Amino acid sequence: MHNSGDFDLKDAIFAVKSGNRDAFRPIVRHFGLPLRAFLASQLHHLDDVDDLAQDVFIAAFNHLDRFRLDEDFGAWLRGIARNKLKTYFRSYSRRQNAMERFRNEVAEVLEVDLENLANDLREAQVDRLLSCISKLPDKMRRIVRAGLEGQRAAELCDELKMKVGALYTMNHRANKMLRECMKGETE
Amino acid sequence: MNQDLQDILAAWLDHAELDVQRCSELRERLKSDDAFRREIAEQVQMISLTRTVQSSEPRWLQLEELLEQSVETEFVADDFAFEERVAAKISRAEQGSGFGLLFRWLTGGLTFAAIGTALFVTAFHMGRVAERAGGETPVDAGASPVTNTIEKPAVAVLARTANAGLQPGALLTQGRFEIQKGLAQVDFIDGARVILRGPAELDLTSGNSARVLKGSVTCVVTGHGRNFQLSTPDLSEVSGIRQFGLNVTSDGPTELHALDGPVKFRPSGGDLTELIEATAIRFANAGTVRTEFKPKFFPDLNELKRMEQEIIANRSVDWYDHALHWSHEPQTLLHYTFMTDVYQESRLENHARNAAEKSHGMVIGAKWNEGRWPWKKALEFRRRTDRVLLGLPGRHEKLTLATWVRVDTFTQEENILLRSKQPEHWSLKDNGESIHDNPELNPDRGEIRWVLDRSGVVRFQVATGSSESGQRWDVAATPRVFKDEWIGRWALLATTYDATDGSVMHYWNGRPVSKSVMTDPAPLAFEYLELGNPNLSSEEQSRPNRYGFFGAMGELLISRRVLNEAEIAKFYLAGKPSS
Repeated sequence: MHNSGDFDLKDAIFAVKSGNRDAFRPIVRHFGLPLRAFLASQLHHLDDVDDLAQDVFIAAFNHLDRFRLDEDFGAWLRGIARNKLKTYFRSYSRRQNAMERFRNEVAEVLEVDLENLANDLREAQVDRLLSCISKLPDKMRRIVRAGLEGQRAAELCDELKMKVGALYTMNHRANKMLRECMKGETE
Repeated sequence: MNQDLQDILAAWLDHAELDVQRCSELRERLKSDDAFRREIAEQVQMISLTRTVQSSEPRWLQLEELLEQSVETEFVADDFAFEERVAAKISRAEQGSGFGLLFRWLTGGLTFAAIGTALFVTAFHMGRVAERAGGETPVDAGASPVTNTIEKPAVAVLARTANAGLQPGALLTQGRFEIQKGLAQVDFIDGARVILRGPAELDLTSGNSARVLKGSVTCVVTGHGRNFQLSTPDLSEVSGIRQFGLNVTSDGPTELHALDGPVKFRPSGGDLTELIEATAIRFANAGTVRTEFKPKFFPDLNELKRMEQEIIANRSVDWYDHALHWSHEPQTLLHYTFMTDVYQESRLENHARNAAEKSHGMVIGAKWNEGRWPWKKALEFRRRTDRVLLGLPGRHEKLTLATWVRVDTFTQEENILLRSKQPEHWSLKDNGESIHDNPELNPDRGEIRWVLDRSGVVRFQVATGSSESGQRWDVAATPRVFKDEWIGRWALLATTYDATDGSVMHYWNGRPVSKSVMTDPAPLAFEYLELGNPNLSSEEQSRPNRYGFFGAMGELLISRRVLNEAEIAKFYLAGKPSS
């Protein structure tokens, strides 16, 4: 597993600014997952998440001179991401159905809370998430691994012989356990 | 669980449709109830995190193109400098992230760069005919000449598969590509993506075109692949700007569905026509007719990803059970599963029962990265100093070596997978003693080398003594087993040796490929082993055919008995990459 302790953001930024484009790669590796997770908290389709994440990194690369070293780079990226999201929602708004519009409204209302949560999230916690998932009880682990998107929730209900409400409750509990586990293992 | 919370999450997850009234109620509560909003945000964040960490790596070709602009393309004709440059270029493409399964993000994008590099390497080495030094010349002279060339340029890559029985990562050249079952994602080099549900067959005609011969396919076009065209027996041209589905059957009409954005099509001999989004059309002998739009009928990337994740999860569990069996097998001397912890980056754990301390490998230079599947790790060997050292002293009449390896390119004539190390090269000896101190043993007999050379031949070599020109080796070689299409893919190599009758059996991906008998069988005797790029003596470095290993290793088993065909096959099946 990548040792994040080897990564020095300031060194990498200096290197990029002095013409070494390769030095941007560790930045992408370091901030890629949190950024994608942040975008995924506001977008439903993972493909769109990845496309937007790429756009954010390209914008960050092109405007790296605007980043001040005393700032939080993750927050700066999320700022770019929010702008990209607004453009994205605008360009797709005409094709959205009612539920998609509702989801986007929910995302807008949650924006501040999600930003605060992203700020609070420590890299080591995310690093531990896979390990925490593997420690969940069997049924919970299965639900978390499968996800509940789209038809998957109904399929899981059949497979696990559970009602939808119970499935969501278990996923809710699993998420709480994961959050505790992520905190516990890093403190 | 609160019903409001459940409803919002179900809507968020696209699992439930809410009516206008309900949406309005939930919207109001979200705005007025801070605790509720916070709870929702926490759940959404955790759902997003779990989805993301478990998702496959993105392929960011635009970003890669941007970062590539500064990379020098001129190579200097010096072996080591050249090797380092190849290492730098390819390792960039495959560096792992801090989260294990993520961010082998450039693999797809740079596969083609890697092929180009491999071609360059091949051309370079073909131009420099390597001479074997006298002392290193194997007894066997039947190895094939250097033929490691990519015969046809790739037009696409098999990016993902689920239940299709194919290993992802394969490069696809012009010609037929078929799956009988499951799902597969084919990424064309000019940027379009086609998802197939088996049984389906494509005729790959170029990097931006293909003919659908049968089956149900979804074509996804991004800004990179705007010129991409499909054709079918009924349609000479189909192109879209985002997504469309085609269903082609041998005994029924062809259907075209505009899944996202308009689609242009031209019936054979007809005019170019546009099909608007969310509509479908059918082509039969009688002509063109409108038909019901059925987007769910076509394979979907999310469906493929879900299946892939499930397969990977099941595969991991199956493999782990099997690995435990081999670790606990009494005759297992060494079992590196390459499952390690972030805090032990320089140590490779020997999971064999009663493993001696020095049998745990010391990782020098090699980097941990994603292995055969997410959550499974592997060590990547890139630079000429990257290796693993371990102590495994003993004298053995019988031995089995089995390893999962991925060769990314051949930078040298020989890829050393494993070799024993002469004791005089080592300062460390347990209690000052060495098995070579035993006066009854010939110190020049019993050393081993396990090599994959650039011609695709696997060799198992046993030292049988020394002569004036150097060490003598008895060699058992396979025919060419490693072919071009295996560059960058995982394969299982296994070799068994029985000194009592001199028999050597080689296996390739679980199947026996050659059986031979050593002319002067010697019991194996070694103390230390090296995996990957060996520490070369100055005399070895002066030779034109230096040793190198440029790839990854994901599992290694050494048993003090001869495993039979069924056992090797089982080892392969349990460990083969998901498909």
